[in-house]
Amino acid sequence: MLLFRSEEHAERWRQRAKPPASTILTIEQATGLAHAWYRNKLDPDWRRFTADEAEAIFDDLGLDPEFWRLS
Amino acid sequence: MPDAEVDREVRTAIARSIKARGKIPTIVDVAVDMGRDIATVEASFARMIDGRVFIPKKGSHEIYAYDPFCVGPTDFYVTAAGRVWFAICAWDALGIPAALGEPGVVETHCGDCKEPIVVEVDADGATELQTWTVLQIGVPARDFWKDIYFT
Repeated sequence: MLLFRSEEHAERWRQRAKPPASTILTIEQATGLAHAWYRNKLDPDWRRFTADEAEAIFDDLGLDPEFWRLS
Repeated sequence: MPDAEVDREVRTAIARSIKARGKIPTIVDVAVDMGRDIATVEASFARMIDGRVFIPKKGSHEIYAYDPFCVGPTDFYVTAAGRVWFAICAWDALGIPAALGEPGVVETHCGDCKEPIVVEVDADGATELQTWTVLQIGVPARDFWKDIYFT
């Protein structure tokens, strides 16, 4: 999970590295995902998201449902 | 004490160490902080590894990454709450300010050209829009934990 200076740079890396799959997030989507995922991590009652909860977060951010499907 | 209560205490001790000392604790650190024996804490760590609460160091029950925080050093570092933190990936680096409830500055380099990238993130996850910056993920979500060290 890397940052790139543009989609063009990300595409160049994808063609070179040939990952098993790939998706690109805007920086706004990425910060939104990071905030939703980790804002409670240091709380005593933190727990992992269920698959349904995680997929709801992905949907809310407009992420590619095929790439982000967990079940 | 039931395992779930022990694990909650251990998670609380880990969080306290991260927030107060800026340090991901070892099993011994947590045992000392909690006044418990090492075996009890190590068993809790093992349960948390099974539950994917954190990523262990290879061949160990010690923490490598209590995501989003990593023992580091890595290519992703974050300045927040008066300290420098390490993360294993861009997603985690962007999540450190959120976990701390503080604004932060994420510094890394472009995965392609290696030029520096700096992203300022508010505590609530907002960032000054840098529309040129994107995050690419090379493993589908359902496979993240198949080889978490690769992911």
